[in-house]
Amino acid sequence: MRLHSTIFRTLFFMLSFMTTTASAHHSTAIYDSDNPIDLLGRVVEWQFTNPHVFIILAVEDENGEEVVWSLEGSNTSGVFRNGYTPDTLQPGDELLISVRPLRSGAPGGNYRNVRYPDGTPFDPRAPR
Amino acid sequence: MNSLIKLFTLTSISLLAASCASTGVQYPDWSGQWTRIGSLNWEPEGYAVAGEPPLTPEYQAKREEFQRLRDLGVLVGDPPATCLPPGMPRVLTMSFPFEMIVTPNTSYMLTDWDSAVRRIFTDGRDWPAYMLPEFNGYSIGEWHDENGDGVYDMLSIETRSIKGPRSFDSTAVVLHENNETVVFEEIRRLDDGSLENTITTIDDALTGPWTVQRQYRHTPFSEDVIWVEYVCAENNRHIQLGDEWYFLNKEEGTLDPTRVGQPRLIPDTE
Repeated sequence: MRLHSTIFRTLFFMLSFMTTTASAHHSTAIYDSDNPIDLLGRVVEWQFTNPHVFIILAVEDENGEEVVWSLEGSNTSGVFRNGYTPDTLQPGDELLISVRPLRSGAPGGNYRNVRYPDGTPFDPRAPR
Repeated sequence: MNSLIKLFTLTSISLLAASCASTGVQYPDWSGQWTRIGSLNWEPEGYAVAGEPPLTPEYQAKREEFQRLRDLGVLVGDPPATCLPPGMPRVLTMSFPFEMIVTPNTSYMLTDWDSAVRRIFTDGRDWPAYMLPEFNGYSIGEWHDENGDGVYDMLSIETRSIKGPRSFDSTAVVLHENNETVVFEEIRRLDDGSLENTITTIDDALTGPWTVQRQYRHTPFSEDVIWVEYVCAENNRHIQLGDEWYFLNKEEGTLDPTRVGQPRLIPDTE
């Protein structure tokens, strides 16, 4: 399910830009930071890899079809230093994620703000 | 460009003469972990002092074209996006922590970015007749005891024979494709907690030398220091095919478009 709350969206992205200096090995300009989206879905896999960790998230679209999103985060060096391991996320975990999507509309993007549906933050960019 | 290189080389030689006047100077202990202070790119801290790299009109135009393409979703002007090494001088931004191992003949800069080794030869050698170009180049260094306390506290380095393509950082500023870059460094131990690297780049994409500084914070050696392997090919999703860029969708087995109007590539498995 894609959430369409503009207020929600704006707030989370303001917060995320204030608190992060992404450890990316490349520019993130290919992602559309002007039109972020929020995704609520179920973790298929947390890929604890380089050059980036990925959250693979199954999301139900407007038509009730499941779409699998590949969401790029920072890197294992920073994430591990912050106290996260490959086991911190498990398949089936539900997450609400603010995403800067690919400009093409393909189901990929850069995650900026991750939290559980109850609002508890899951922020690999900050110490756990 | 040759006159600029000579000027910097002469400066290095005079500094060397000053340091060699003393004998029995000890090599410093720079062990432990060093992490960058500041952002991933040279800006804003570096630009605040040095200004932007003084690009020639040709390379300024190239930068603007790259930025236009990026706004469309094309990841140009950023070679590490395809897992090429950052090379010199970009590696010195130290996106990831590094370690310095000092020996009399060679100092080693072990960077977590690409799990790479950079060798800085301090054995007094001259430039080899031929140097195979490498992304980190070929580095010759000299130790100096600037405060005269009997312990070396500054390492000056000259690096040549640097392979490309390279960019200064991820802001679409690329170095000249002739790869005749020369980089001079002066790495100083400011205090127990920090190193400072003053980096001067001479390159034909620039109208003159560009000097920028970067500081690194020290964490003393201990069992709590974390080092993490970095293998870029493990899960890189950014694929370049000719002039086109794609996002590798490993889950679906496709190359997904990054810009509007670009087709999705689906392998023909029949």
